[in-house]
Amino acid sequence: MRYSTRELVSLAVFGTLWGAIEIVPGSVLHAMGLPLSGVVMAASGLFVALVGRRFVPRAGSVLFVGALAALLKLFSVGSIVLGPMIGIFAEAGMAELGLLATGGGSALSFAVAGALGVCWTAAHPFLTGVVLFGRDFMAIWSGLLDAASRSMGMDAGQAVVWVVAVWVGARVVAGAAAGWVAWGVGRVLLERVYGTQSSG
Amino acid sequence: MELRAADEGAIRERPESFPGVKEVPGCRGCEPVRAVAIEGSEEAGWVGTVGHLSVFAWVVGLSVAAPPGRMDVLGVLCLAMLLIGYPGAIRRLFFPGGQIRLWLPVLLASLAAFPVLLLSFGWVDGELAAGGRRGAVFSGLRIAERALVLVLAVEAVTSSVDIAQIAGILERIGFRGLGFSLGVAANLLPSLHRSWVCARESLWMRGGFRAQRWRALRLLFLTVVGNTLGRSREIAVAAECRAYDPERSRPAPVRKGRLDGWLVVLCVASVLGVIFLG
Repeated sequence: MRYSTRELVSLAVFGTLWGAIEIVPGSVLHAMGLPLSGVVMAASGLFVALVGRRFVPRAGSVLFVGALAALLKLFSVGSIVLGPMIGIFAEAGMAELGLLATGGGSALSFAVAGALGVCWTAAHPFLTGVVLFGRDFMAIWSGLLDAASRSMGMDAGQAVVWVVAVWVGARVVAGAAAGWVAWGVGRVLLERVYGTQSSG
Repeated sequence: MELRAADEGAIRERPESFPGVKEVPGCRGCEPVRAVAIEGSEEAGWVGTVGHLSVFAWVVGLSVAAPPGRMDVLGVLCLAMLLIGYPGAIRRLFFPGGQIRLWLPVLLASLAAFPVLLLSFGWVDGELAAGGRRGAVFSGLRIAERALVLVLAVEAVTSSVDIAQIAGILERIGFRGLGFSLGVAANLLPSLHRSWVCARESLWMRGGFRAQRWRALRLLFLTVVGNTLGRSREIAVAAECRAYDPERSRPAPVRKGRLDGWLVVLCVASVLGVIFLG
């Protein structure tokens, strides 16, 4: 990844924005433990990173913005930074993969990238849960799932299908919407800043 | 290398004793200037950046790779190593700025009590229920121990390695220009905040989000980012005027320690030992 000075500065702007979102509202949302706060944060961050991609339309730019935001997360208050840092970097990586696979030159491509990036939040708690709390915690989770499915009169297999469908579906919709909107907002922003639809 | 004020006298007396300090010839009629030479890497005593990161990776690696029956012992080992290696970390973790951080012990106690509570209410069965109350108590203690070890490791590494050092390492593995961008980002944070406050106040004076919420939010975003991009273009022009070229710039120096190599070998060997020998 080699960028010119102007590209680096543009990427810094979007990295700062994503970092600022993670530091201020992100810390508050995580501290409050609101449901789907990870999805909201990932969608907001990827929206910013994908708008940045319109300014630096080169491979690796979303990953670069993610790396910058993850480093800025170290400024965050409190000691719970490892999980969010891994999350930010992985979300950016997934979005970058989506852009690579689809060409990265259309609203659809941005929607796919956003959906893939936000989908990471479905896998993230399991990964960090195993690292942070160990297999004991996974045993508790699976036990809770069994108990909950029995209390709702479902068998475990049926419950898993429903839970996974809702769990992943909500993320795909949120991520795709973020990517789609980022494409349009990026175009307007480019026109405002440079008076053209391509970066200078 | 950081040049402390107390060192200046000693440097003037014996400049040869300070390998990082070099005399740079001054211009005509000026005295030679003593400057700190920034090389590709610099000495940082016993443990450098790579060493600190190895210890952190070791703790995470052991936590992930340890078999269920061994985590108790390995957790205690990690905790002991962190307390010996980073004696200030536990104080900074629980008493930042001299005041107790109450939520952390509460969180750890909740984690420890969680399996016992679930078992008492009969909300879980399977593996946890089979172990009985004693098993649930040990399970809770293991979860809390692992969380404490990892939070302590994060505190230790973040207090020992600064962000510029991590950026330097990332630059070396392919993220060229990340150090420069990080500097620009740190410079832009106050500007972004100012732009956000001005745009938000203007929006509030025009009715805020009471009508056309979506349009208002979009305009707010466009204004904040547009202003920050304008400021960033000034920074880019200033950098180009000073002949900054990301292609030819050197990555930020990484502090090297005398024990770094040994630490890397020991950490990798012990994690591999746990993985393959159990």
